Parts: sequence; structure tokens; C-alpha cells
Amino acid sequence: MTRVPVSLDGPSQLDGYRAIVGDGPVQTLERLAKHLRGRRLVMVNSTSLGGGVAEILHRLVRLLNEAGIATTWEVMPGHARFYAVTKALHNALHGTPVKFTDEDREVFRETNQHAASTLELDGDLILIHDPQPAGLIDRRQPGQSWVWRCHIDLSHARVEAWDMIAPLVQRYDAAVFSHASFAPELGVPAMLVPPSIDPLSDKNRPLREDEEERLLEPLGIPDRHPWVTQISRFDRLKDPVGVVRAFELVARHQRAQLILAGGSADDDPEGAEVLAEVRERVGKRTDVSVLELPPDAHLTINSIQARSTVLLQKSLREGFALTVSEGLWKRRAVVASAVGGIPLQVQHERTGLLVRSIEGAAYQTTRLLHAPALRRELGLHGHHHVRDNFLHTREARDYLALFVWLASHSTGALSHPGVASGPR
Amino acid sequence: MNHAPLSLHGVIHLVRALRRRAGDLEELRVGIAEAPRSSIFYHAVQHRLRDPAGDDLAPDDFSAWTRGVVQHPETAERLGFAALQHPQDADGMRAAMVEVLEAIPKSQRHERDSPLGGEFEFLAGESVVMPWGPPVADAAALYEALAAADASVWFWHFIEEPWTTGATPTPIAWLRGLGEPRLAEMLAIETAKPAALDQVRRTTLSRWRRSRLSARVAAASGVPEPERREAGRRAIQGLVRRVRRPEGE
Repeated sequence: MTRVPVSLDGPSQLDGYRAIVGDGPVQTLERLAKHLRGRRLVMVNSTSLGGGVAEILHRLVRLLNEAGIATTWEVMPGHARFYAVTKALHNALHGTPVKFTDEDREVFRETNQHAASTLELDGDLILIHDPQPAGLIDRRQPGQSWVWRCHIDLSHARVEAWDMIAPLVQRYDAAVFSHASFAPELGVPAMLVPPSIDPLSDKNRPLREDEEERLLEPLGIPDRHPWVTQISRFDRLKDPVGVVRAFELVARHQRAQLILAGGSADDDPEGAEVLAEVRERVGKRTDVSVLELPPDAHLTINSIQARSTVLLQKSLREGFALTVSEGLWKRRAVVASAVGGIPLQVQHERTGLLVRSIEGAAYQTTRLLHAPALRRELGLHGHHHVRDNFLHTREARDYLALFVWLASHSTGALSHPGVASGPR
Repeated sequence: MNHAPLSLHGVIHLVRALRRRAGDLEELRVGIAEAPRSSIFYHAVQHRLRDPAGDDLAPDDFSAWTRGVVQHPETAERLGFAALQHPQDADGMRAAMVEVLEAIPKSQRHERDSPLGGEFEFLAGESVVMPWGPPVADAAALYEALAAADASVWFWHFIEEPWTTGATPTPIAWLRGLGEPRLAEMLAIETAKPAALDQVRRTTLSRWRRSRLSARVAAASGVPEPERREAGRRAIQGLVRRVRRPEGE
């Protein structure tokens, strides 16, 4: 079974979005879907559980169906050897030196070939997510539009890794990246579509006060002083030790409680190492809480973010860091590093504060702890910025618009007298 | 006279990476000189649709980068003015901005640079134009449709369409064809103002409503006295309801 069932039960997502973003964006989505009516969209990735892409697809596929475009989601079948190769490929595309053997390349090619024969790729529009299923392009049929959606920051990709993928990507109609700096040289149009969050999901929906209390109570976090929080994996690139060092500087001037909350490190040897470093740095401080959360702790994360006075994202390198949009959506004051996709979300002094150093993070955090009016103002603008730019309705719209655009630049299979790509 | 109904359109912009960056004002000059029209459009025209509800007209990307990253406010001012002077002429806008940058000695153009990671990234805007709502048949229906339309409809018809085709915006030409030159002129004047889109919308619609007042008064002069009184009472009641209604409701 390769197709992921997506439930259409429960309250309508479109109605939920309409209440949040208004009629305009929902109508735009419906108009695009109407134009593409009769066409079927197939999403393909490599897992239906865990990870940001699966989280997005569970919600996006339903939203697209509700908007009126038949959308299915296929998960590529694989095996341990294939996953070992694709994990190495993933790391190498992020910049880690990895050497690939001919056997690795063969495993990658063969698994894609096998998957191509089992997946239902009979849609008119095919959206392939990330490198693992990139080789499915071999199954392309005449009249189909194929788009490769890359969620990875390729700006530091190792040549040997990109060389495995590039010849495949060149055969797509277009590639999509989250940020301009992630896009490599390509012979096909490189479009920019930032990822998005779902305001209706457990991670982002508004919580009742009693619900929030019930979720926070078991964590036992002291609440006498304002919370300063970073939500992220215990990963060196998220710089959790740097966060503790910044907090040490903050604590010289202002009583506060630092919360470092991230996914469990059990299955990640490096994560466990980083967590140990964090604990060592924290020592016996009682004003720092280090929390290991299970992967499905969406409501807990929601309640911590909602209760925090300042949210930090002091990463050294980032893909997009949707935790920033999650915080802004909750009208929180955010202090974040000016790396990766963060500056798209945090406009300095308007929707949050950008920093480039430990001292900068300490300074801006201290400043915010003393400035409730500034926190409110940044939080409000941040909320509006996310509403207008980083919700699923916008991401769904961009994918559909891309397929319309591609159609108007190809044989005109989807052309329509009332719909055009603006001539330049 | 042209009586064919008018179909309004909205636009969605896809953003395309061009894989070209500028790290100083010389590279910006070369980039602007060589960029495709879709890139000049994205950076110096499309920005008006990114925050339609803004308090004022946001600066174009070139001048915003020159001011905020390179920190050369004088050049930023001049670039901003150059962009503003040529709202419907890609070649004119490009030439004017290149001229501003060429006025700076070449060595200084190199000296005025960005910190690492702050380079200007050239992007392009690709437009997907979609029909918006049912066709309208007369001037009142057009204004009602514009009142209900989102910012992308205003942007397409009054900013992007003339930029793309060099022609008069379709709704203005259509009003003229309909024999409504005064309304067409009013629409042309209001929508040409370099302001935030929502502000343009507010002032345009407000002028339209005011212009309808005199027409309604003239029409009402032929109505019997009791009916006029009743209409007046209804108008006052409506006004009171609006005044009492809490903000944002």
C-alpha cells in the first residue's frame, strides 16, 4: 500500500481558513482549483510519519481536495540499505562530506525504478518532495507536469551528492526551493515557495486557559519569572549551548526562566552528545529547564510557546525554521538569528528582532523583557505577517499557480482563454 | 460605444530565483542593466502588492537594499525616485536607475558594498492572471466589483496591466467606451497615485461614493415629499447604526 489515506472527516479546513485569512485567499485557491478541475495532483515523498514534510502533506492534501482539486499522496517504498544511502545523501546535500560508492548509486537508482512501478503516478500534475524519490521522473508520461520540491538548504551541498540528483532534476519542468540562497544552478526554472504552518493544527491552534494549564502542569517549569524559550532539536546548528550562554548574560540583569525544549535524542547519537553538553553548561542552575519531548508533543509545544514571553531561535545555520512562524503566529516576541529563511519571517524591528551573536541575543532578549509595548507591537505585526505569507493556503496557492504557469508555457494542455501568464 | 461586459482579473505572482547576486553598487548597476524585465518588475513594481495594507508606499527593493544594507541613503533616495518616475515603462525605469548608479564614480561603487550574506538577490516575478468574479455591465457594477475585489485585482488592472502592455488600464478604457469619461478620468487619477494599494482603493471608492451623492440628490428631487422624508429617516438610522457599531465589527 503506497497511498496515504487522508481523512476528510471533521470540520472543513477551508471554513477554518476562511475565518482566519478571510474570503480572498480561499477564493483564489478555489479559482485556481476550478481552473485545474478535471486534473489530478499526485504528491510523492518518502514517509508518511515524522518530519516536517509529512506534517505539511497531511494537512495540505486535505486542503487541496476541499478546494476542489483531486489530490492523492503516495509514499515511496524503500528498505534499510536505501534509507542509509538517502540519509547520507541528505547529510551531504546539507554539506557533510560523504563518499558515495557505485553500489550506493545503484541502490538509489534501482529503488527508484522499483518504486516507479508500484506507485500510482497517473495524475496530470506530479509534485515530488525531496531527493529520495527524485528518480521517479523516469515514469513521466506525455502531457504530465512534473515539479521537484526541495525542502533542503542546498547552498552548501557537496558536489558528489548534487551530481547524483542534478541529472534527474534537469528533467523536471521546474524545481521549487524554500529560499533563493538554497537554489543551485539549474537548467529548469527555480521557483521559490516558502514552507508554511497550519493555524488549525494542534501545534498552532488557540488553547483555552485551562487546557494550557493542564498541558504545562506536568512539566513542572517554575513560573515566577518570564519564560525565554527555544524550541528545537538538540543539534549543534541550533546552538543550544549558545542559547544558555546568552541567557547567562540576560540573567545578570533580569530574573527569567530559560526553557530549552526539543525532540527526544534517543535515536540520534549526536543529539545525545549535544544534550549532554547543554546539561553540563546548565549545571545546577534552577532558572534553566531542559525538556526532552516526544515527537507528537504538538500541544505541549503549543502551550510552552503560547506561555513564553520571548521566543528564541539562535541557530547557526537554518533551513527555514518554521518554529519562528509558529511563535509569530502566537503573537510572541521573537529573537532569532539572521540565517537561512529566518529573515523572511523576522523583519528586524517590525515582526521580531534579528541577531548575529550571543551578545546580540542577550541584548535583544533583555530589551524585550523590559518592553511589553514593543513585545505586543512585534507580536501583532508578526501575526499578520504569518497570516499573509506563511499559512498553508498560500503554499497550496503557489503550487497550483505554478502548474497553471507551467501549462501556459508548454503545449497549452491546460490553457484557458481567461487565464494567462502575464507577458513580459 | 463599447457595451460588452467587462471581466475583472486578479493576479498571483510566482517568484523565480535568477541565481544572480550583487554585493556592491557596481554589481547592482550591472545587474539592473542586464536583468530581465520580469526581474525589474519584481523588485521595483511588484513590491506594492506585498503589503497592500501598509501605511504608506513601501520602497522598491533596490533602494531598500541600498539604504538598509549598503547604507548609502543618498543613492537610495535617487533610486527610489527613479523607480517612481517610470511606473509603466520598464526600459525607462531601468535606464533611470542605471543612470543614478553611473553618477557615482566606479571606484566608489565598488567601495559601497554589503556585509557577507547581505548580497542583493535578483529574483523575477512570473504572473498568473485569473478571472475575478462575474463580468460587470455598467459603471456602478464596476465600482461595486472593485469595492469587493482583493488587492491583486487592483494591482493587476491599475499597475501591472499598463506596465505589461503599455496600454490604458482595461477598466478605464472600458468606462470611456461606455460613455462615462468623467468616471474614467476619476479612476485614472486616483489609481495613478503612488500610494499603498489599500489607500488607493479607499480614496477611489470614497470619491465614487461622493460622486453618487449628487446623482442621488438630483434623482430624489422628483420624488414625492413623504417618500423623501422616509428615505431621509432610513439614511439617518443607517448612519446612527454605523456610528454605534464597535470598531472592527
